[in-house]
Amino acid sequence: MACFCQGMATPQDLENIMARIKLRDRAAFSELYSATSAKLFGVALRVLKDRAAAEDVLQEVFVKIWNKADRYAVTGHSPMTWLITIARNTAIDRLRASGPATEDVDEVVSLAATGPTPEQAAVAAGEARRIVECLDALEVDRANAVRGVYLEGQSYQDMAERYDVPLNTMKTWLRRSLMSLRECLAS
Amino acid sequence: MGVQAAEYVLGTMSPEDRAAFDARLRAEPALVEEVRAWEVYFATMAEVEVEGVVPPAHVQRAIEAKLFGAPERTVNAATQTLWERVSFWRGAAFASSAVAIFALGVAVLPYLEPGAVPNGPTAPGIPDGTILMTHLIPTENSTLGLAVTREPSGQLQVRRVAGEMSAGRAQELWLIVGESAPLSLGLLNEDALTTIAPDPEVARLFEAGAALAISDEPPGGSPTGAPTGEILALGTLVAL
Repeated sequence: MACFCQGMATPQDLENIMARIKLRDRAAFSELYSATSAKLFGVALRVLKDRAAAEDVLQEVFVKIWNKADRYAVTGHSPMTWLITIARNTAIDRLRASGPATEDVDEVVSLAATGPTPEQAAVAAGEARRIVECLDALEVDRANAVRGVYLEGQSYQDMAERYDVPLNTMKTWLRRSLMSLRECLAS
Repeated sequence: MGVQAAEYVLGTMSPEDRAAFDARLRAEPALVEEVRAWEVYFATMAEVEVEGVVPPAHVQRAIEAKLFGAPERTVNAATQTLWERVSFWRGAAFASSAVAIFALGVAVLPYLEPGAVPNGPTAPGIPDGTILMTHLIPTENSTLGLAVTREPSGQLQVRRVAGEMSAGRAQELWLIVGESAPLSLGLLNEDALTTIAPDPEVARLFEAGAALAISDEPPGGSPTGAPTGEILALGTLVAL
């Protein structure tokens, strides 16, 4: 028996759980919650900095997971990427309640990705961790700006105020950071 | 990989730019791949850098209630809740039993079928002619009160004396003997009086000190065989 203790499920365990959830297996849904809710709650808390709001968002996230499970495979993502993307976007939408929704790309395009094989996905997961090294290679302020936008939902305006630079400078600054990241990730 | 795809994932585009990018996404599968690649990178960053925080237990219950409805939220939890409530309300019900016998005896006895009292076939373990009765008192947040008598034949007469049926819900009667799991005795009628004839093997389980409880259930009764909703009323059987 695999252990579905929090944080102990392997990517393959999670793939199996996702496949069962797609078949409407409630026990699998419960296992997924045990294995991933702490990380997803952590993400929601990081974005919202408010426990009650993060609890609401976590509920919404798991309702979406159950309701959209059949679309998971289309993304070609690993389970954690898919789950964290949903959690982060749901939290950001909550944060910007009055602003435009950060809808998933899946809402825009329904075409299937030329899906990677599980092996390719595993390789990709290893490569994806390079993002952390590549962030470390950036200047601290620039890396933190990228983190701030993704994990705290900061707008260009927020960041321009935080770093005390004009709005357009901030936009240029973030784009350059993203370009550096892209080069680092491609190398 | 383009920087626009990264900005799309970060959500920093203006609404106009975003709409234009959405249009490109529909036409350019390669751009979708870029967006997905950035999703992987940023999600991985979050996975590595964000510490997990265990959410409070009520969140999972709320999710399952929202998705599957109250009846499907873990049977074990519902049963546990029942037991917590039973042990609490049992004391209260027992304390009120003496009062209940006196107050309700007058109200209930006239409804018993004449002649049924001394003559019916008697379930084993209960002296001939014994009538068991209880007054099911409402639990907190409930107004439901019922008088139940068990005739020597095993037949139950359940009379609603306070409260009523909630629209779109059912009320199910349960027998709880000792520490055994609750046994369903059936659903209550809309009418004030419900007559239930339990199977002989259930009928013989009735004894003084056993508890009866009413739970709130979906139409048709509990789908699991165990109480799934709130306990609305509870009482302890006494020999009359």
